[in-house]
Parts: sequence; C-alpha cells; structure tokens
Amino acid sequence: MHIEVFLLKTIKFLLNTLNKDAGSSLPGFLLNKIYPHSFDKFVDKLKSRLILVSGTNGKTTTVSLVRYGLDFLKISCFSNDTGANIQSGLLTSLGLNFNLKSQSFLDTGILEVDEQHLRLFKGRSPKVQVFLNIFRDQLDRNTELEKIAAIWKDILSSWSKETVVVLNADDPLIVSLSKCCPGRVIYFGLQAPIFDTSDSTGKLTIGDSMYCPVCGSPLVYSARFFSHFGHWSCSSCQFSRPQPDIFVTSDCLGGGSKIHLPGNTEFSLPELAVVGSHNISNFLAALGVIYAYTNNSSAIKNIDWSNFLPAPFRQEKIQAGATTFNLLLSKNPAGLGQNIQFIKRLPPDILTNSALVFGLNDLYADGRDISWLWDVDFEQLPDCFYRSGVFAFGSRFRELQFCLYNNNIKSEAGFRRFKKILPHLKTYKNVYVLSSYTAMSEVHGILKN
Amino acid sequence: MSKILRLGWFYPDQLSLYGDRGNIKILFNRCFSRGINCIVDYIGFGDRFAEKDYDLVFMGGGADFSQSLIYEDFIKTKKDNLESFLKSKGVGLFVCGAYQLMGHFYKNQTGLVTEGISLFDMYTQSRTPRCTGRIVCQLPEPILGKKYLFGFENHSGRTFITNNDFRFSRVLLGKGNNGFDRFEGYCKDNFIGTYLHGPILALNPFLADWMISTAFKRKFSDELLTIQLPEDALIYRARANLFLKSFFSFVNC
Repeated sequence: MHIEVFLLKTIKFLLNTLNKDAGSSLPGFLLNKIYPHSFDKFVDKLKSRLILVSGTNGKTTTVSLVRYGLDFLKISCFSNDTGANIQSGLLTSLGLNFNLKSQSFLDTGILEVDEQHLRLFKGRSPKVQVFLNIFRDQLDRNTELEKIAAIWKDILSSWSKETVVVLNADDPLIVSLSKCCPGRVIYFGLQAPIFDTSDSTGKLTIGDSMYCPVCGSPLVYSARFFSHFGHWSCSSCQFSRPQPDIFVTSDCLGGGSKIHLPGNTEFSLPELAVVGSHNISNFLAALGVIYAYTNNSSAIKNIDWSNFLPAPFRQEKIQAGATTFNLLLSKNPAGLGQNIQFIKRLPPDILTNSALVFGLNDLYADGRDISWLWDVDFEQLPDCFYRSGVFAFGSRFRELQFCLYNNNIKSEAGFRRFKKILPHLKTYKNVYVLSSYTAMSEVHGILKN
Repeated sequence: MSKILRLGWFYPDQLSLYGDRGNIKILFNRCFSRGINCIVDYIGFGDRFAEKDYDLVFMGGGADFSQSLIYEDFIKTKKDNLESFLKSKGVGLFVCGAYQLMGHFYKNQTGLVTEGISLFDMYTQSRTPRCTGRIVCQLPEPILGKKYLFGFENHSGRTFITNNDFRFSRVLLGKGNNGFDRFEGYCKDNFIGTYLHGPILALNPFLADWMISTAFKRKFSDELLTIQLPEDALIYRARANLFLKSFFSFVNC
C-alpha cells in the first residue's frame, strides 16, 4: 500500500500546484487505473472506523455537520467534504488519510457516498451508516427509487451487527430499510414542522414515495412536512412511522423548538447557518450519527454550533462588491422545492432588492434528463419574481426559460454562461442562485475569482 | 372564454414520475393562449372514465412498482370507455409506463407479467441494459409543419408492435421502442403512445397544438388557428442545439 499512498499524494500535490482547489477526485481516478484494488485495500484497513452518509439530498451538509460536531468533541476525523462521493472521490479521501507507512491515526472518517456507489462497501461493515432520504434524482442514472432501496437493503444485509444504522423516521422508504439492518438502529425525525411548507391553499408538493414500500397501499399522513416526509402509516398493513430517538419539537411554527436526545436530554434548537426544514432534518441526522458514535447525549448537548459554516453551494454566501450571492444547490424537485420555500420565507425588505438566477446544465453530474424541472412548484415563488428579477443560464437555459414561462414567470434574460448574466445583477443587493451541480461550480469559480 | 376542452389525467398520483405534469401544464397554457378554457380532471383509482365528457386524455410514466399498483384498476374501470373514446376519435397521449399498459402486457425481468388493456396491438418485455439517452425521431408526415421529435428516453422495456402501420415515428438517434427496428411509439387514430420524456410536449410544443386543434375540431367542428406562440422560439432554438449534441454524442461513441 505504500506505493499507492505515495502515488496518490504525489498526484494530488502536482494538481494543487496548478490549482489549489483541484484534486478531489482525479488522484483517485488515476490511482484506480494503475492499481485497481487500491480502494479495497484502503477500505479494509479503515472500515470499522468509517461513518458513511447516503441519501439523495443533504449528504454534504450532513457530513459537514458531523465533522463539525466531532471536531468540537475532539474526535479526529477526515471527510470528503468537497462532495466527491463516487469511487474516485472516495478513494482520494481514503488514501490521503494514510502516511507512507500505510498507517492512519485519525479516529474516524466521514464519507458521503453516492446512492449507486454504496455497493463498494458491500461486505465491509462501517462503524455508522446514516440514510437521509430517497427522492427522485437523476433518473437517467438512478432509475427507480425502489431499486435504490433494494440495492441498499442488499448491502445492509451483508454487514455485521456492530454497524449502527441511523434512519430517517419521516421517510417511509428509508424506514423500510430497517428490517435488513443487522444491529442497532437509531431513528431521527421532525415531531412538528419547523416552518410551514404548504402553499396558501394548504397543498403540498407531490411526494416522491407515497405508497407503502411493504404492501403497496397508499400511505396515510397525520402530518406531512414536505414531499413524502411526515407522520405516515400504511392504510392497510402495520407498517408505520417509528417513534424517533432523536427529534425536534416546536411549540409554534418558527420558534420555541427543542431537540430531544436519548437519555431525556433536550436543548433548544441552535441557530444554524443552514435553514429550512430539510436542513433541520440533516441536523438531526448529524446528531444521530454523533450519538451513534459517542453514545453521549450530554456531550452533544454542549456542542456550540455558532461557528458552523455551510458546505460549498449549500446556502453559501459570497460577497462580490455590494452584492451578496447566496448559492443554493438545486438538483432535483425536492431540493429545488425546498430552496424555493427558503426564498418564500425571506422578509419583504430583502425580497424587494433581490434577484433569482436559475442554472441548469445536463452533464453527467447534473443528470442528463431535465424533465424533473416540470415537477417543481415554481408558483410558490413570491409574487415579486413573477414580474422581474429572474434570470437563467446553463446549457439548457432555453428550456429553463420555457419552463419558467409556462409557470407565468418571465425571465429577464438567459445565457449559456453565468458571466454574461453578471452585468445584469450589479444593481441587486442579494442574488439567489438556484442551480444544478456543474452550473453551480461555474458560478462558484467565477465569484471566487 | 366560451370554449371549453376537458382533459382527463389518469392516475396522476401513481404515474407522474418524470415531469409528466409538465405535459398537462403545456396543454393547459396553450389552450389558454388560444382563448380555450381547459379543465383538467384527475381520474384515479376506482374512478370511471365518462368518455363522452372528455376531449383529451393523458397518462404518464411510472416505475414498475407504480404500474403494478394500477393495472387491475385500469382494466376494470377504464378500459371499455377508453376504447369507446379511441373509436370516437378522442385525443390521447400515453407516455412510457402508460404506453406499455396500453399494449397486451408488460413482462419484467423476473418474468412477472402485468396485463395491459390491449388497445394497442403490442407487448413489452423488460431487458438490460436500459434504453437511456437523448432521442431524435422523424415523423412520417409533418405535424403542423414540424417533422422531428426530440426527447429523452429512459426505459428497460422493449416494445414490439405487431402491425407496422401503427408505428409513430422513425428513430434517427436513440433506441426507440426496442433498439432493433428503429421505430418509436405507437399511433392509432388520435391516440399516441411514446417513450419520449422531456417532457415530450415541452420539447415538441407543436404536438400539443396538434392535440388541442384535433380535440377542438372533433368537439366544435371548427378549425383552430395554431400559430406558433412567442415563447416557442426558445424551444426551437434549444432543439437545434440538442440535435447537434445528440449527433456529436452518436458520432463519438
């Protein structure tokens, strides 16, 4: 393994001399070509110390929350916090953690793993695995939600009972994984909505998974938060939402929220740098992971979250002159829907001087099929954006504009490249960029430079 | 707005996996732009399809699981009246999973057979690898002056049509019905079945106009003026771009 580690670190070093942000995946990609078994070797050495994070949305944010929490508790860890979550990225993160004697001295590694690439860990039991959610995302690659769940069940069945699995109680398809979990299961969930995610008619967006994964009957909801998240039960069989071990309650929408941990520990929901019900769910997932790792509710209660910074593209703010750019990664209907809810809740004085920039590419990392765009509830946007302040860019900007037009939103301009929109944005105090992955990378690169 | 067209949307909860409601939105908006009030009704589980009340029908795509949930109800509560609707020249669009259920059966990879309603003389078998990617097809005759269909296909089903007369379009780039015979979709009277997503009517708005004008003529015995709408220019520019991309990816592989 010494040679693999040396090679990986050398490639990374050379890439970083050219570009300091480079080298999150390419070193692993090249190493895999030369030594195809290097991934297996690295994982086998570390597996019992690994924390794996999987799900459609929220992986990167959850990893950064877990990392922050464990760092605060003085537990040394590494992570793939750039979001490089397929084999090449995982290999890069794993390999960089070893020294030239093939030793790793960090306590743990936190890895976000792409839905399809969790199969790389089949038969290799991690210490903790968290499953956040399953939504429709890149259906050209991921095909059907039930098929992803089936893959995960197969992987779970191959693990030992030492692995602790953390599951989202609000997502019925995630809860269906529990019967394949070999050992301890910890549930997290929202006991009450933190924010009202319905529109003025009280309707919510269509859910991605509204049928019982056990018997196929419709699910019944006593409370529905967003998409198919909520307090659910099957209308026919016994399958129902379990009581979460870690949950948040609120006395009223938007205030008085409390986090509950095992052992009757509770504390007020901290003010996080990432907002929205979906991010509260990610926060609970992170707490679940930290609890699974430490078994110490008191220590978790004392974590000071005030210095937590969001991961790149996830409600990240970049100041460019007098304009604040807010980057909101939006790559599927659930994610874009939640970001629109975030925009909807902005105070009127912020909205009056704000612009929205939608970005859509169709590269492999974005998902090549853009049909999902039409499942987004654009009508939830505040009224001010129906008249002005909306722009579009990306390789499919025309289809994006056409979709917005059919939702009664007339975009002011559309261009292939983000930099052509920049001159139009100078007069705005706040710009919210809602964009697919590679388009957001373009935005990030331009704004940072 | 004095004229009304009624659109029946079958199983919107189970078969809307893939931006299918975009097709509904486009039909609704394009009716509105032409002074027609389009009323959309959900026709779901247990709902009878009162075909005399409707002018258009739409049914979208879903996973194998979703299809298995609804097929019995589809046969029991909708098949007969849908057949009457077809014979009376009603207009229908059936995408992906819906398209498969319009045939005799769909057989998945474990051999499980989901029965269809046999309005289309075809059957479908699931195979690997999936047919996924951009698709460009050519219509045998132009529809409202347009000859090409653009879309994105994503299906494991291989559909085989018994009678060649009902093939909808010829595949220029992509896989189509089965990846062998170079044809895509099914067309019988005013019913169209297709694997094209995009959604199909977003990338091919002329097809929406054809559906609306055909339904309009059937109901009011009058021609509807279907000039291109201003926003269509965006799509036709996008299609030109897509054609180049599809061509280069075809040449490159």
